[in-house]
Amino acid sequence: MNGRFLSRCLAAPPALGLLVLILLATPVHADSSGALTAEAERLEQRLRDSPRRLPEDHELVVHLRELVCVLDEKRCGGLRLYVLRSPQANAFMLPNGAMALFTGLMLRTVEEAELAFVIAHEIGHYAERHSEERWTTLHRTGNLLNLVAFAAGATGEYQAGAIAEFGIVAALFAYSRDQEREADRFAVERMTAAGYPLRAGAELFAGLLAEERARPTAIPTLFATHPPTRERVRTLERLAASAPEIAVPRDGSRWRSLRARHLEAWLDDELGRRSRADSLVLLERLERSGDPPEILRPRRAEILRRSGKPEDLAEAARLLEALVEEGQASARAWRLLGQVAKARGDQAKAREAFRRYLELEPEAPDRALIEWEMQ
Amino acid sequence: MSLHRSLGGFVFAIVALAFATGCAPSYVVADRPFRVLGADVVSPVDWSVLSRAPIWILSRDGPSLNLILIADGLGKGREVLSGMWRFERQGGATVRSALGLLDLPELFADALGAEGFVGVEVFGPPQPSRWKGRRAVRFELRMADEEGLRYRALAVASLDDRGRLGYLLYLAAEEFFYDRDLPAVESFLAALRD
Repeated sequence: MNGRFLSRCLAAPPALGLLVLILLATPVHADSSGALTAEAERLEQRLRDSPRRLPEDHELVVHLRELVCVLDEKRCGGLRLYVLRSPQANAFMLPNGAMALFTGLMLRTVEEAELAFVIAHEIGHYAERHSEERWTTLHRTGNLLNLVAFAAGATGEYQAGAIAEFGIVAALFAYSRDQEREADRFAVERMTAAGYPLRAGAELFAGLLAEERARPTAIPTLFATHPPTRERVRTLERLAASAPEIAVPRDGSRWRSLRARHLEAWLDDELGRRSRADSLVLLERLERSGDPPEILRPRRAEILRRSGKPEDLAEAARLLEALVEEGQASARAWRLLGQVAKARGDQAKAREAFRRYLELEPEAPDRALIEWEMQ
Repeated sequence: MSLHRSLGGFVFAIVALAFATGCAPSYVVADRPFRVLGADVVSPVDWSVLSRAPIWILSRDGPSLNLILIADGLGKGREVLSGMWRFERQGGATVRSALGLLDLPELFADALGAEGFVGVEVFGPPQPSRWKGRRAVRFELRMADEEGLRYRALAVASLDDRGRLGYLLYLAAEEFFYDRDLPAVESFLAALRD
């Protein structure tokens, strides 16, 4: 907790990085299977107890478990699934059969088939025992994490605490290209058997790749465990093109309705990443994929508004005014329009937009503040 | 020597060095005036001063149980919070241009989220308030840390005519600590109001 304070006092933050390197290089003994099992169980316990866990939507969790069984009936009894609320687009599997799915990934999987691809891919790594091959490194670093926390910032995300630990766990399973190909093949096989269209995997990876490219930093943070590459997208596209037509495609409407319940919350989490360029790419892709514009466009406008640049404020106003013209402006959109107009110095328009907001939301918790702003 | 023992030595060395380099805390003594941001605060209880300007950090029982952060004049690009919870590679939430009072509750929610708090939410109605003679907003937040410990926070935040942020943020474990020290926090807010 006091890492920043201490490093500031020392005035030598690089010392922490050096310490991390030294400790990473420290040989650790007793990598027995018992110790490894214990470590996996410790991490699973952290998943189980994490305040980020999403237990309140029982139906969603049940549906995901059913999905696991649809994809691998033989192994599903031995697999446990944990959903973590985090905007990171990631998933990982511990060698003991505990799978973690981040809500940031579920936000990006509009179609059930896309989510099925990710889950099948994870099961593929488990089935082929890829994660065990990385386990010695994880075991050694896991000890380190308890003490020096996450100074290494292996995920490149700003997240702190246990979510960073999970992120690092995920990043440590940075599989080789051959292993990724193997897991992709496994996923393709399972998707075909379950009746999911194969193009889903390629589409998901293409979307993730577009986000990666939009990021101003070179640090790969999205789906860090399985970085999407052009080669993988092409391979999956080729497989999808040559796959036989599915006679009765699996119905994914249930996933769409379950995801819709959380869409606004997960989008707000995405805005909390404060990563403008790739968030805009994502929101545009989600709109093309059929997510409701009345939910997505105010978030796009919000991202633009936050820059404060005149051209971004103008674009934010344009997006919101289009919603108004289409009769789809929510209370949130009117409030935002008021803020945009105020930032552009148009007080009359701001007052009118705030007035419409309060009309639509008479019990708005920020009413007193809005009325103050209107004065 | 085990890994744990060598790390124990390292931590001890850091603490010793921290004190040797002048990081030992000073104190707000109960019922005696304490000068912060040009105002004399008289708190009914003692506080340790962990850090001074640009962001003052005070605590009674340690940063994991209760904290008061006080700052003023934080301009564009400056981090809203101190970052003391975070081993960051990317920065936390920063003061940006074109901020308005309506943005401030969300800005603090973002900033606390970036520090690693989970499920940060503004609860209850944000209220108009005053901070150093300016219009301000007063609001409360709820959150948990990664271990599941519940926290509550109270903030009064304001922007000056150049869009620079000033605020007092009180953050404490929800159980017992938050309510216990709220009256003391109000004494800070009263002193910093005008």
